[in-house]
Amino acid sequence: MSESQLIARAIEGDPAAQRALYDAHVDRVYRLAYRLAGDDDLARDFTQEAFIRAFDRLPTFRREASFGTWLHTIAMSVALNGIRTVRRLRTREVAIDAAESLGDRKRIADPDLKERLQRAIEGLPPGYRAVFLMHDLEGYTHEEIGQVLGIQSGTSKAQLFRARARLREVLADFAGAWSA
Amino acid sequence: MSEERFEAWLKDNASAYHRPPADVPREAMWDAIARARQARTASVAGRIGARVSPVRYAVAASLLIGAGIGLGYWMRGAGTSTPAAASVAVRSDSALSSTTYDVVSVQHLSAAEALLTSFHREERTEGDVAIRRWARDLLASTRLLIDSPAGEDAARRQLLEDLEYVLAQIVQLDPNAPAEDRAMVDRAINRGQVLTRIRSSIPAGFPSGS
Repeated sequence: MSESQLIARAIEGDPAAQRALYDAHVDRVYRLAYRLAGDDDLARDFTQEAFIRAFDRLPTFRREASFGTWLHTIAMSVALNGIRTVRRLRTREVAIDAAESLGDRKRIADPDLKERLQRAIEGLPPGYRAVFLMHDLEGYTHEEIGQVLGIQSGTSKAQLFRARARLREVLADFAGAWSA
Repeated sequence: MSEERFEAWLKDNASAYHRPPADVPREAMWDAIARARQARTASVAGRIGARVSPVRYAVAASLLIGAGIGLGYWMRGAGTSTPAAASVAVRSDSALSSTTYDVVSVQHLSAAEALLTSFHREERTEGDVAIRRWARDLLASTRLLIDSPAGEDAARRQLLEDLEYVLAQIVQLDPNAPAEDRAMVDRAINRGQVLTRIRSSIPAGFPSGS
């Protein structure tokens, strides 16, 4: 059965069709949510929320893009909004906790590559980070990224270029590792 | 050349960043999706005459919020397609839509107040499971409200986002978690004065959710 037929049946409430659509896309959505969140519970929440919203809004799906792209657009919106909220509130907590325990600072005095790289990626602006994770780590094309994030594919390329440049700058201490 | 080497090195080393587990929890997520969608449908039939337990209340509140948001969007849609000559009607539609969002927001916050009060009261018992389920339902509704025109009011949005964070912490709270974890959620509630702000945003005389 084609995806178009599955969508038509899913709109009518056919659970088997809804499950087939879910099975076809859930792995990619979950992987992306996990890359963004770095936490299984959050990745599950974002994935579930994305499918709930997608099934609820399926009658409004206009087939201007593929179902997968449309679903990813919803998933990215859910994940980025969720992460923004969690980050903002975690930052608030960290600021208070840091004031309470200054001793922890020693731990970041001499970070290894993994930790530095992680912090460098976390420090990217959200748009750059999303493009970098989608393209370099999850293998999305610039066309796909553009459709999902609602930007031109050229903008996606430019953001990836800038993301890499920032990472290179921040990780300059490790230049020997790639220039050797 | 150096650029290409850096890109290859970066891809190689960054691949471990937030690497997803090999096994996607497909069945668990599908069950959760099915439960959430069924709860919405079932609450339509179960509302009349149902005994108002906290979980049922949350399901009913979710339904009301969903319906309210849907009505609000519908009103907005009707407003934008109305000819300019009918501007008076548009204004009244808009006012009605705004009122709808206000009502569902208060309804939602009233349910949240009941949940947070219960969470404060409860020691670690099997009641935690019901509270977590209740929090999960409210979390979904909170996110819907944040993304709806109800979230356009800056103060309300701030409150809903703080509530979202607290609910997410309750949902993620392990039943066997040490008392400190539970205390951390309590601190999050107190730090943002979430409960106090919720109470002050509910008009006097509005039926309590507890």
